[in-house]
Amino acid sequence: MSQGILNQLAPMSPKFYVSNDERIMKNFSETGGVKSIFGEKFFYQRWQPFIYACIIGLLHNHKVPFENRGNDKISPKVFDYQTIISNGYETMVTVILCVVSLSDKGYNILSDPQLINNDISEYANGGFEILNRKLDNNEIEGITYFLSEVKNRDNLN
Amino acid sequence: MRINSIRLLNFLPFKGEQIIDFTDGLNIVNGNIGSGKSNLFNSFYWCLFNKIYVTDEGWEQNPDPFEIINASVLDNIVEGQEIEFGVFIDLETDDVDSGITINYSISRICSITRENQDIKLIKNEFDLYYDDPDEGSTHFSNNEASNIIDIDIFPELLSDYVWFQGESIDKLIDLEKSESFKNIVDTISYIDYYEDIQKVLNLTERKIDRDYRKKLNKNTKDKKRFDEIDLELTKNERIIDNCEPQLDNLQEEIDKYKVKREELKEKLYNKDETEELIKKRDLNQDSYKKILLKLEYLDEEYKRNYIDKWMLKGLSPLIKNSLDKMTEFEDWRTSQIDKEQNLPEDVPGDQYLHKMLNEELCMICNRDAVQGSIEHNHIKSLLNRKEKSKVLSPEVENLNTTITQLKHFPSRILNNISEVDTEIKEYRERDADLTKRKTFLYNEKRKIEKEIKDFEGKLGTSIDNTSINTRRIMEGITKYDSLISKKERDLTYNEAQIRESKSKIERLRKELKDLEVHDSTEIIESQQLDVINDLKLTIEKTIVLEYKKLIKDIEKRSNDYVSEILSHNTSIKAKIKIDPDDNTIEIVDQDGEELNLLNTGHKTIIKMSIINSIISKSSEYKNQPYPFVTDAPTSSLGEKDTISYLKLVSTIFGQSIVMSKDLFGNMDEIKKTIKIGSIYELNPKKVDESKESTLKNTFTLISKV
Repeated sequence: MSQGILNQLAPMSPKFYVSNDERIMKNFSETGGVKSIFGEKFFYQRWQPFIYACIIGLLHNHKVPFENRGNDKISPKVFDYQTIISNGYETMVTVILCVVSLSDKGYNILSDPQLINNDISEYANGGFEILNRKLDNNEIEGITYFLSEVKNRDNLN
Repeated sequence: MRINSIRLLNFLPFKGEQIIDFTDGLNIVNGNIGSGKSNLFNSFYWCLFNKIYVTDEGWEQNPDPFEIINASVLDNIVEGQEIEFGVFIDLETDDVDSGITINYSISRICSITRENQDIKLIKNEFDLYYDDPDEGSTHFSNNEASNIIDIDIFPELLSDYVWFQGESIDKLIDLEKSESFKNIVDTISYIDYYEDIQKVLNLTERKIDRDYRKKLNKNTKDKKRFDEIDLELTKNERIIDNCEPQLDNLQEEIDKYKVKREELKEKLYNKDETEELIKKRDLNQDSYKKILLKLEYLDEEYKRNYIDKWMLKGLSPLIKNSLDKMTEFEDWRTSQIDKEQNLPEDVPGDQYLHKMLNEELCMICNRDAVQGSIEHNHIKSLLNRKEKSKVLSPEVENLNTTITQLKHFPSRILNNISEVDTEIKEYRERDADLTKRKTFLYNEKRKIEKEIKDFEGKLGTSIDNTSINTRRIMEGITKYDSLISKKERDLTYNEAQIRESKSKIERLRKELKDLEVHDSTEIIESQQLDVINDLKLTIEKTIVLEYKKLIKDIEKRSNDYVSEILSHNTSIKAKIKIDPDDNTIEIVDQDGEELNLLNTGHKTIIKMSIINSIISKSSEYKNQPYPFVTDAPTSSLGEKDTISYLKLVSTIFGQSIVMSKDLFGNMDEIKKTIKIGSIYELNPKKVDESKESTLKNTFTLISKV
């Protein structure tokens, strides 16, 4: 019996560096267990800032492959795609559609959940790189940043 | 008494060990709001009396040591580490008679440790060492040390008036209530000495009288009458012994009930205004809460929309592109099927086959095809031939399933994204609208709070929801009326009993005199009793006269202080008038007319002048000057009043320690006119400069200026 890509992705987990989890995912979300740098959290669950970073990577077509970074290891499993599908089905579909759109393999990538996971993780990695740069330059001063960032996306298209 | 130094060890904001040396004259500790002035003030009280003053709450006796230790030190304690914290005070007192100076070292020290993640208190000690030139060094701890402080160094009852927070001055002396002045005079005055003499005289009189009656019993003109009088005297003495101790208790209870009744009457008197203010406040609070709730919902809605929809903005081109790619796949798949199923034109399609099955007739060869027949089954097997591809692989079919799942989404997502800008605009408008409303209500709230505070200031009590329950107030007043009447009746009865017994005793004693036998064995106690009686009368008159004189002196001195502080101010000519009979204080103008329009600053000056005059008077009589320690006493005074006040304080007190935020701007002016002992500054610092200023990350650094 044939299985859709969402079912195949569900048990897999996205990849991200521990540093990005600590500095961005935990800081931006209430389940992170650390005090927010903003004094207030914007996202509720840890997958949300991950997907946000992925969207930023997709918007900038900035895909960064994983490499050996010494002390900065790949995070052990924090959540799987099932969590994202259960809590944000359309968001997850949107991300997959965008990955299809940018993939050299075109629609064929939809036959390879491993490759989709890899692409999603690498776009998120690229998004984290952009967000880290903004944090370094103090461009993210509070939760109002997220709304202004969305407003400013008009310039991207 | 003179304070030489205070050493603070990890106490409240004072991290590590920090020392302040004090000298004679005015010692100034300057610091901004939140720099640790009140905590420094508290360090004196905690060390000597184990209590601290909590702003807006009042005194807290025996505070939790974990609230006293420096927060940063407590936060960073590691397993097995022991940390000490506390306060050390070095002071000295002069014995005026002997001229000897005694040095005291007083310390209250606690210690904590961390064991198995738990933080435990392992030491809480209070010690006092004194260095007497004759007796050498002596050590006392805990209760004994507290007794020495209270009796020999600094009575705790007095401390509230000599060491006080600017904020608490209203509680120390209330111009509206005569009881508060009586309390302070009773606490500080020397009248109690005379009362002690009275007590001694009464005891002596009783003892001599007993001896006198014993002797008279042995040698009297009329034994039978003597026995009768003796019995009667004993009976009346017992009545006095029973009634006298009750007088003070009864008076105390009556005063207490009167104060409570007065408070209730004031509430009733101000009922309408109170009701209106509370209604206004409640309405505002209600609207404010609703707005906050609406803003909270809006915030939640905003975050939810952001995650579900808004953050996808900008992805539309990619989504459109993905739709093209999926269509590309579908086209490719159809072309594959068409290639495989390239059927001849005469082969009927599914629609035609269904028609044949329904009519049970093969329309190609015109043969019957009854249901269940070979012909019917053959026609049926030709159905769905396009779908039954033999060429497409399971992988392609899986992909087809995925694309079938996904291809419905792009149009919906694109539609959602197209609404984002409008939704954000609407959100911003709603947010701005609610925020504007919130600001308006907040300003209104502050205005109402100020109105309430002013009103409470006028009332001298706080207003709350219970204060407008008229029935309850009336019940309370009736209850106190009846309690006061009952206690007053008891008091009158007791006083009458005592008066009657005393007069009987006086008459009986005279009669006893007549029973004396005037021969060679004259009773000496008879003459002694006459002398004691004269003395008692004299002391009684003296107490009344001295009390009146003391009140007059306090009144005069208070007025001198007020005019000295306000000497630069020509517009206010306020005079203090104290009635020695009922202890009421009135502020009058030059013509003796009551002044009602005084501001808080002037009232503070008047109160502090009265307190200072009583303390200076008490210091003179008791021959024991005390250092004056105060936190923020001048916050309600103007610049010139502040300087005049400090000048006055430094004249009255040999040593004074004043903590303030207002003095550095006037330092040149202060130095010109006042003898300055030392100046220290309190500065808040961060433990870790890179982190934010939390309680755990800040401490106060004391530096000498």
